[in-house]
Parts: sequence; C-alpha cells; structure tokens
Amino acid sequence: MRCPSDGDLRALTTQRADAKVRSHVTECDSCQQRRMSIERSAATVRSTLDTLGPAVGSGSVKDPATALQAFKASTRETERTKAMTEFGKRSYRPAFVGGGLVVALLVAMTIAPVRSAAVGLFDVFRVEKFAVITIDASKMPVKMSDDGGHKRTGERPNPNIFGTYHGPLQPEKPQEVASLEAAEAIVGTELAEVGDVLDGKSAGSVNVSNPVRASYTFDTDKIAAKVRETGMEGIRVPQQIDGKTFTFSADRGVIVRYGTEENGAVFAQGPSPELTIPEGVNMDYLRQDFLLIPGIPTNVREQVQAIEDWERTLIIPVPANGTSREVKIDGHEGVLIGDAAGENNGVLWQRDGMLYAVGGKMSGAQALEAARAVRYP
Amino acid sequence: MAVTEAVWRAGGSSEDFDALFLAHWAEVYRLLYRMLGDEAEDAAQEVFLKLHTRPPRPGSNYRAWLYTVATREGLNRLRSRGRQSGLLGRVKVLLGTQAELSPESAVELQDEQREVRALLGRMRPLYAQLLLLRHEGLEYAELAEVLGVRKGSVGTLLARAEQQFAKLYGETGGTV
Repeated sequence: MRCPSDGDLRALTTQRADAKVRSHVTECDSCQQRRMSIERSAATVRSTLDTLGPAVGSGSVKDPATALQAFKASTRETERTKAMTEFGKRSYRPAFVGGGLVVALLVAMTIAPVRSAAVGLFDVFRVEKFAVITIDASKMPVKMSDDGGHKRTGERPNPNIFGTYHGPLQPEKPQEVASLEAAEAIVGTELAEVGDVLDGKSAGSVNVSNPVRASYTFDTDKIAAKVRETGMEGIRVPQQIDGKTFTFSADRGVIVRYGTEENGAVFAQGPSPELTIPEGVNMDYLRQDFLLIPGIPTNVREQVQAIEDWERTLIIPVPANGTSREVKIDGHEGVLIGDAAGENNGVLWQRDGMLYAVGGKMSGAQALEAARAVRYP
Repeated sequence: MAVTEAVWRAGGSSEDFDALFLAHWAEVYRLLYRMLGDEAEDAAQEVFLKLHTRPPRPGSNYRAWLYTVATREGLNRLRSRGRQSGLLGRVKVLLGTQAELSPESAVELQDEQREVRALLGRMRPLYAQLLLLRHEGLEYAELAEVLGVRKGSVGTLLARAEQQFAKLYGETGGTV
C-alpha cells in the first residue's frame, strides 16, 4: 500500500489505525521514522499544555452559580437590552451612504485581492468559498491602481492616510530553496504535490514566502479629511470603525514553478490568510456602505449583492474580458479563471483551511486536470 | 448533553440562558484559563455575553459554538493584549496565586506558562484551536464541527498542528 498520511500514523497512537496501516508501518522504515516524529510532537504538546494547569476546583475559581451571579451583576440589564435591540435592527438599519468606499477599497487593497471570509459570527475571517466578479477598472470611482502618483515620483505611498498601519510596506521576496523537502522543513508541515500532469514540465524552482502580519487602526477624522480632500459628496464616514484595529495574517506559502518563463506553470499552496475583525464592527454594515457608494458601477453592485454567503466567500475581481467559473476539486470549492485569449488559465481552491492554486500557460481543461491530480499529505 | 438542546435565542427565556451558562461555564473557563491564566474569568464572561447578545441559530450545537467563540476570544487576547511585565507577573505569583509552590518554582512555572501561551499566539489559529480543544478532550467529530473541517482531515491537521507546536517550542529552547 501507499505510505499512510500523517493523520493515519497519528491514529496509531490512539488505537484508531486500521490493520493495513499498522501492518504497513511495521515493514516501512520511513513510516516508522515519521510515526516516531509524530509521537514525539504529540507528547511534547501534551506535556507542555499540561503545564498550563487545570483551573476548575483550584484557587479562586468561581463555581458556575456564583459566576452567573457575577455575570448578571456586571452586565446591566439596560445595556443587554440595548445590545439585543441593536442586533435585532441590523436588517432594518438605514445604511448610510458612502464612507465605506474608502474602507472597503482600503480593506480590499490591504488584505488580499479582496477579502477573506468569516467563520461563525465574529472575529476570524477565513476563506471557504470563492466568487468572481468582473470589474472594468476604468469605471470605478477610485481606481484600484491609484497610488497618488507615487510610482512616478518613486516615493513610497503613505499607508497611514486613513489611520495607522503596522506591517510590511512591500511584500518580501520569497526565499528560494533547493527542494520541496527543504520547503517542508521551513513551513514545518508536509506539503501537497502536483500530480503527473505538470511532471512533464521540469521543476524550475521552489520558493517559500514569508509570513505576513499587518494591522490597520482606522481614524475616522483622517478618513473624513481624505474624503473632503478628494471632493467626493454624499459620503458619511462609518463611526463604528473609529479606533478599531483590523489585523491580517498569512503564514508561509510555497510556490513551485515548472517549465520555462514562456511556457511555464505554477503550483502554490499555503494556509488561508485570516482577517480578524475587532469587536463592535458589523461587517454587514460595511458591505452595505460599499454597495451604496455613489459611482460604484451597477453591474459590480449587482454582482456583490448576488453573493449569498458573502461572509465566507473570497471575492476575486477579474478584468471584464477575463473568464471564470465555479468548479469542484475533489468536492471542495474552487474557481477556474482564464484570460481573454484562453491561453493562460488557473484554478484556485481551498481544502481544510489551505489554499491551493495551479495555473499557467495551459488550457482550462489542463488546469483542472492538474488541480484534480494534486496529491495531499 | 441535554441542556445544549435548550432553545436559547434572541427573545428566548432567561432560564434557557441560565441553564446554558451553568452547564458550560466550567469547561469554557477551564479552556480559557489554559490560554490566558488570570484573565480567564473576564474572557469567559465575554464569551457568555456574546452568547447572550448574538446567540447562534436555533438548533445549533451550543457547546461547539461556545468552544469556537472561546478559542477565538482567547487567541485574540493572546495576540493583542498588552503583555504583563515580567516583574509584575513575578510579584503576582509571589503574592499567592501559586501559593502551594516555593517562590522559585512558582516563578519558573509562571515563566513557562507565559512562554507556552505566547507560542500558542504565534501559531496558525486553526492549529492552536485544534491543540487546545483536543487537549480539552474533544473527539474528532466534535473538533470537525467546532472548527468547520472534515472529520477525515482532523487527524492529519492535528499531526501538523503538533509538529508546528513542537517546532516552535524547540526554537524557544524547549526540548522535543
């Protein structure tokens, strides 16, 4: 049998493994090594987390009834009622016009091609689905590429015009490594491998991207000043974001290039980037603000409105002459994107919190075939 | 657990909420204590405030929902809270939060706990959640529900999470 996954090997420590796996491991030196490594890691986790100590029954821990009393005492009824009312009003709240333009586009440009998605109700946004919207950049009220002329002057754009930004100003160059195994050593996990479809192209290079952590704390006074400066009318700045810090994090990704520059292909993988939304910010409101911005083209507005599960969906803007369609890769959500000529195509999909992409100089069918041939650890 | 079937939602009775609070307070607190130490009670109160003001959809698995919110609350605080100074931490230890230990041992334990919590804060959130919840005793099916992953992937994700933890732990001077 083929060597089992890390999950199957880990199951050996908990009596979950089936007989075939158990039998294979006794005869496979490589798997025995992997199993020992996995067991060592598991033991380290157990013993280390044990040092954090059991809490219930020790020291000054409140029993549940006392804790409930404290909860009720500290949460005034009026405040709770107010919070409930605010929550209930979300569907009926008259959305204010506009300030979201700045916010939405800034968030879009800062965190990803556009946005990651929410797991549950709050806090951590993670990609689970994809939706492609076509955009004619020339018709947007603020151009995505507008850098205030900084490219011409060579001056770095100021990231603090709407608040305070902490993070890298430019993406760091990925680190080139000798092999996929070397990349695995850096990221600390096993990696997926592209299947036979791209094996015909020689692997050119393996690169590991650096982790990115960035945060943005909005200042509505600064946003209002910028809105006045640009002369846009009918825009109200959403006060709910004032002083709130949005954080973005992306762990290391691995990019393998195949073939030549002219006839190449790329296979990339990495954990889904995550956006943390601060407490008190209602993303539904921000979405409504974005949709009501004067000048947003009707077709863009309609496309965004048509996304039903928008909080779990990564929106990917593509040029109006591009092609795209939703696809399934081994049952997981994905999207196939191509250029107008059909010469370059790529597939982006997610699987268990990881994002994968394969594409290059190939047809859509070839890109799909490559995606479906990926072997996962 | 029967009480998780209680119908708590906006407009639901306070008895339903109280029943959920009493049933799950201890486990939510215990999880947050591992993550945050002395800050756990405040964080646990915050989790139940969210349950009160923004409850999950009727019919949800409330225990899974509480674990989800609690781990996010804990990780957010781990990553963003102003770090208590080492000196202040030592003073608090010596004032009796670890009274059964010698002062030296208590300080060492406090230091180790601080390092482990910081390490969890540096991990990929999904992995940190997995390790903490597994350590709390959640089964694979429960982990899959809480974290929104396939049950068949939990073992592999756990192995990866443990490898990442061990790697980071080794980098901080711990031994694997």
